[in-house]
Amino acid sequence: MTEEGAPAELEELRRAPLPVEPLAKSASRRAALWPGFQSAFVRARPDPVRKTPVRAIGVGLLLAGALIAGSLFVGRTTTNPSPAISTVAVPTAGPATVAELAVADGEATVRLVNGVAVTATIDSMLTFDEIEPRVDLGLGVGRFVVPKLPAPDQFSVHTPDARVVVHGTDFVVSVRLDNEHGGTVTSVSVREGVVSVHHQGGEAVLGAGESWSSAEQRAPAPVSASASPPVPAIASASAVTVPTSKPSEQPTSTLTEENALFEKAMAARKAGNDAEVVRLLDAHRRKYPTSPLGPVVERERERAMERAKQP
Amino acid sequence: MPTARMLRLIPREGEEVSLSDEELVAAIGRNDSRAARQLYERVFEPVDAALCRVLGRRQTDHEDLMQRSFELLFSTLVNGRFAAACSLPTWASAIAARVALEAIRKRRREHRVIQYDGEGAERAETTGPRDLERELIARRKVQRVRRILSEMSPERAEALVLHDVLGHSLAEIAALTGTTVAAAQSRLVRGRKQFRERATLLEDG
Repeated sequence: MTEEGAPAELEELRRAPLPVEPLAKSASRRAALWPGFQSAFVRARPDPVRKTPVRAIGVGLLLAGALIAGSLFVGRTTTNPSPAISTVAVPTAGPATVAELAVADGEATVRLVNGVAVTATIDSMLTFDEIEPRVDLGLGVGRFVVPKLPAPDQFSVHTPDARVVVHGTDFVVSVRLDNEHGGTVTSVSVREGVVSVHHQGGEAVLGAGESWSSAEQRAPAPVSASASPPVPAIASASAVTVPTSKPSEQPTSTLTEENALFEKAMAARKAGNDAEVVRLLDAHRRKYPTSPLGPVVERERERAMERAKQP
Repeated sequence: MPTARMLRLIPREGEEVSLSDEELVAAIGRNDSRAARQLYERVFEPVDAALCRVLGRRQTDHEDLMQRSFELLFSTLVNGRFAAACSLPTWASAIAARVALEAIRKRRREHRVIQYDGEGAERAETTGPRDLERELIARRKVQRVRRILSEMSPERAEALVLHDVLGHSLAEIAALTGTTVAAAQSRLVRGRKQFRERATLLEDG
């Protein structure tokens, strides 16, 4: 047993009440830290991923990094930043059933039996619903190509703070952390077709070339779906994380190149080369100033610079 | 049809069962993302509380330290270092304590121990000069404790914090630090002695 008791100062520390904070702040802090926890889970996962027998269709899917991780197991996945393309074909059952899966260059593309194609960037958190034609995007960037669906079919993308309902379109949704207000910010950019975005009881209808961000809707003026005619909400270029453009000026997608450069930076981080991480992420900022990966790039760059300062 | 890759059934939302610590760790090892949520709920408060206890309050880098604790936690779980001799919350608390001690030592190396507490740290509400004076005295005490801990050997500081601040038993400390109970006890005894000696030096100096 110990010869003496604990020092008085340590006893005081042990008995001191923990700092109290308002419930709302505590809940906000918990929500804000969840994506980081998920990222830590993704980065720490074992390598290689083991095979698991097929049990059923329409499962939750976690896409992150250069691997398919989480609820979807692929026979040959590795932590190699540039994995070989792997495809999966499964029997059809239900509208959100995964028909095909492809992984290449740090992106994962999933095609559902109803024709919807989803391409997600690294560190995205996607969940496919078993029954409903719906995808939950918890964090990250996903591009959704939805074919024309026969009425009354529809497909929806749910984020922590918005719901995007589509009927046949090509659009990008990004979800990032809101460090200033807590929670997340959802941004939607439409390339083709029409989507309606539901947020805090309001609805915004976006056409091709238009964008919307929940950051711009902090004091929303709900637009009733029955109001005529619905006015598309076009967020300012400085507020959204996806670029706005007119239909005749659709920019060529650089998503693949943006992902590849970001992935190189993450590989350098894994190798412990923080100087290289900063160099690559600086290049990313210069080349793709309006990239949806902007917030993630900034965060990783700051962390690399902090690590580089440590002895 | 090409050779099918393997997919695994994941329970729908609402059908989740609360897993034991062992089941949770096993599920994490299988990359079960839904287990990650359960784990988060189980360790969030112990990590937060441990950091607050050791550092005295939530400071501007509190969330970074929590993130660091999460990353270390996953690393230990995935590498099989989690000791079944203690619970997951206890394990997470110990990891957070280690992260907090590292932060204290780092700040000490950067000569920021004294200044840091005043920069952006949470401030307790005060109602008058007496409260303010009490708060200042309390802060100085915490700063002194942190300074002493930062100057001690890491093993002894860790044993001291885990036992005398966070209330873990010697058996838990042995499991958490990968040593024997006897070694944990020795570190605790020597740590207390070293703490008192340094505290006396600070008072005299």
